[in-house]
Amino acid sequence: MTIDQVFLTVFLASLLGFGGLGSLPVLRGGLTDHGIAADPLILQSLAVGNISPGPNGLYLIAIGYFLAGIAGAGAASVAILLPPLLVLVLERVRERLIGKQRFRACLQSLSLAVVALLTVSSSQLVLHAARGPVTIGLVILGAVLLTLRVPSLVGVIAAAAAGLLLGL
Amino acid sequence: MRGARHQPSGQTPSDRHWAAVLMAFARIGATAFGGGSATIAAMRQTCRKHGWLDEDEFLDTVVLSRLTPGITILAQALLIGRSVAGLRGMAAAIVGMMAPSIAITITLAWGYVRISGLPGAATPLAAIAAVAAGFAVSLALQLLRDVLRRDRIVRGALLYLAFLGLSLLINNTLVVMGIAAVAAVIAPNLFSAREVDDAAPEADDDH
Repeated sequence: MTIDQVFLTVFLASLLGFGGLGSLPVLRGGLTDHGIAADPLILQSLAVGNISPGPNGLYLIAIGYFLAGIAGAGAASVAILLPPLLVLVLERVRERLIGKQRFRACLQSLSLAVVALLTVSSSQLVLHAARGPVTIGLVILGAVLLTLRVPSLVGVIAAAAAGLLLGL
Repeated sequence: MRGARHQPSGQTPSDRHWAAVLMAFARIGATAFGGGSATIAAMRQTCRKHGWLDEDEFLDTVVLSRLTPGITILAQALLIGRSVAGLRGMAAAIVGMMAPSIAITITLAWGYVRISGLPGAATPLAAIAAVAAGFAVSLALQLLRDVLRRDRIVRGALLYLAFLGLSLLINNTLVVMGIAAVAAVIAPNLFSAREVDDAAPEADDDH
């Protein structure tokens, strides 16, 4: 992918996603449209993004790096920075908007749609990654560790050790 | 936002030192391992420590940032930085938070690429991918919990199931989101109570 394409793909995913991994369904669709095998790329980026400090959404920077190196990471960084600037506009108009039922309904509806889409995307990632009993166990381990707020690095190190020792 | 207008001791935002914002957010960007909840907790602690925002003002930034598309924590950092030191504070908060995170993420991604080229690396990397898929499941469940908390749980759960069915039927993310937006405009009562609910969401969301 060119730098422009990386920027646009990450920007659209970020703009249309609410919350940490809310960007994932649109990103997955955008990558697939460009003929890229999205699932392995996203799984690598999630692994890197989750052991990095800061918000989970920064996995998009890892996507940028895997697609186009340092320049891709730079393009992705700019792309994820632009949508949050809308908070300055929202701050000005929120007194008028927050009381409007249709505005609140739109936010709730879009959030539910994003979570539903994310459920499908996550299931497809699981299907891609879980190839046997060991990897199925590791998927469950990853979900449990993050839910219990155990640092992601612990899960990544445990997985690498399991991969080395047990084979898959 | 109240925080943006809050000027203790008669100071204007430009009187405050934006460098303090830069340093504080750089510390958060470099050390807040654990995703959104860890980052929000660190920002809250920083605001208390420096006396930048009181609890209500901090929650105000949480609510506003939750309405914003994209990475909501970046929106919150913008609001906090601006309330402390105006435009320079905004820039300092974003640069401070993003610079260490970007550097660490790129370094890790670089290491991942190098390791993936080594003989025998495929198996441990496949194991790491499996754990990452588990992370995605956990984050999706956390997001679902947060969204359902905002309104009546049963109604939210039924609508979620309806959208899930739609997502499985229509293999196009943008079309599903378009349908969601149109449905909310046509039938807002389905998605939101008529009266305004000002209850602030809890500040432990993993965004």
